[in-house]
Amino acid sequence: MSIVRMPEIKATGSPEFEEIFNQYSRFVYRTAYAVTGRHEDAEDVLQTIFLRLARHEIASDVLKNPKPYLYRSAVNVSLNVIRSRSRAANLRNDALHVKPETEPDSIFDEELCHRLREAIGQLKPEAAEILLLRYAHNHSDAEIARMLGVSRGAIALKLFRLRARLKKLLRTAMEARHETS
Amino acid sequence: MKRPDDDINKTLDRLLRKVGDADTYQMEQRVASVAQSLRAQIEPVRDVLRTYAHDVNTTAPKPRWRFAFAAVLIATVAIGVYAAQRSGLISAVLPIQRAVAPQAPAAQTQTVLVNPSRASEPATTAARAGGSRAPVVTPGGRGPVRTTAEEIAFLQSTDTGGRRLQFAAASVRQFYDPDDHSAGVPLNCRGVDGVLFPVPDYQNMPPTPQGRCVTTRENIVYVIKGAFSSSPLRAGWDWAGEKCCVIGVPDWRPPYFNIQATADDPSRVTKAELQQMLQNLLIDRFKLKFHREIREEDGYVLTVAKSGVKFKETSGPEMQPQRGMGPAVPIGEARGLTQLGAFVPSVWKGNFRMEEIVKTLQSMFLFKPVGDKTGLKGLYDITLNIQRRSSGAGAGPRGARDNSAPAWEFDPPVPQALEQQLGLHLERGKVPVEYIVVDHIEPPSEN
Repeated sequence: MSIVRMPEIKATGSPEFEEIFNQYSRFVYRTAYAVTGRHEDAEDVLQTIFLRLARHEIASDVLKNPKPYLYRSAVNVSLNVIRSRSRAANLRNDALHVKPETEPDSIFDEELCHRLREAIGQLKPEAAEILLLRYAHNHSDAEIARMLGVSRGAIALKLFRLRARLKKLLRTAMEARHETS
Repeated sequence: MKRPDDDINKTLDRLLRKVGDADTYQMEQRVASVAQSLRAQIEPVRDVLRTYAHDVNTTAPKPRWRFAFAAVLIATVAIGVYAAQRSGLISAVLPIQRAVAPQAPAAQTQTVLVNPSRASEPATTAARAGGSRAPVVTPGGRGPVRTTAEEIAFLQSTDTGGRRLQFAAASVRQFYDPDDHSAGVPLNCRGVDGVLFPVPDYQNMPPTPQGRCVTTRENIVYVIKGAFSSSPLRAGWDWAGEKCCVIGVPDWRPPYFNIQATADDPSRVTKAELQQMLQNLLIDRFKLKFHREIREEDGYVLTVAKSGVKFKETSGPEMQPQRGMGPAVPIGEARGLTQLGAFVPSVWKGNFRMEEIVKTLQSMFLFKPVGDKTGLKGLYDITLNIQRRSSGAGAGPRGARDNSAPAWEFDPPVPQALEQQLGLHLERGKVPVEYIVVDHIEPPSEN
């Protein structure tokens, strides 16, 4: 696998911007990808967020600790993207777009992933944030609590409820598959 | 003992991790692309800021209130001038300038070279055809081109004060995915005043966000045509086929591109401004150079019949004929004359300008350029009944590849229907058609 060299943004006027970009761009990208499930959308989200940052459209105190801001922005912008996309998909009636050459199990996995993303898209941004920090970024409950400024217990409870909700969705999908097979 | 929930838990864990698992190679590529794009946008701003900071530091210190006062004064004057210009006050104060402009000596050449430094002009200036007053058909099928006086008025109305309009962010990628058989999204841009090249409803495309130009899997020819056409038609469709009127583009394999571009201020940008940004994008990223040529083509000329017109001027809302059996729709909606197909309407009824009639004749009935010599400039209440008769396999515009004759037949024949129902006379004749001749184009620079 070839490695793409990351072009550094020249440190001309605002070194902190380059630093922030180099430090958090992949974090933002990964978050956006986890929500949207598409590289194109993740790229758009990344560009939108850092363009705002570059234009100083955010409060300066955010720069002191940009991670929570970037993360929230990534989740919110991504949720907006998938909501607008789902409206379009309803029109196009191709919401479940799977490649025919994929193995049946893999197709089912893809379908489940798609449903999960849909479910995440319907969550409140705060809930989606917690879920993604836990599973897309492998943060512990304590880290999430620190980052979002809430107690660890609250995070654990929230995650438990979210998992219960997603399990229900999963169980329904799996039962439906059993019936059809 | 294994609990029944174990499987579900494991599957959920696995899927949740899969959901967040972005392919590293793709991610690195795209992050790099965004970094480059951001750098391109940020550097000029920073240069200005650095220059400004340098000036401020090297000049003698002055009281701050003077700077503040001067800034407020300059801003007020600038806003006042801009508002006056937008409201037409300046053009009313300076009527002499406009009156004199049309009398400028007509150039003899019919070729207009594009100056990349004034990218906002080519779409319109070239259509002047060397100052000729003869009606010229544009590549977008806009019908009669403006006269020189109209052209100057148009340029003044779209003047951006010498500002070079550019997208705040633009991603251009060559499209190559052998597994993707989707139709792609035709080039379209959404401004505050509507959609440039509206995508027809039946294509069920996702709506383009405000202030953006988007296209996926679009042939570069259509993009050029869309950027430098002032026609509201979809870029790719025209009277003589998809690639009409843009020549000299290299045979790139594949010739398709995905473009996503966002304006600086999406909430205020207009269609015309987006089109200018698209022009600058092609000039900057593809190093596009071209000139325009006016060529005489076999086509049709539309005049008022001896009996006189059989429709009346109206003041109702302007409309465009819709495909299919539905009623005409307000102009600018994403329906109408955008694609050839089996949906030729049997009845047109609505308030149309001659420009719309000419475009419809070109793109849906005659498939040849139509020159408008009726001299009718108003909005008219028009009703026309016309039926398409099937003419066998291969019929239709796709069948008429040699442009020798329309492949579809109509009942009554189009000239007869126009004469009897509208009092318009249609006859064969030579029509000047504008071509975009590409002199130089290269694969786009990196995002």
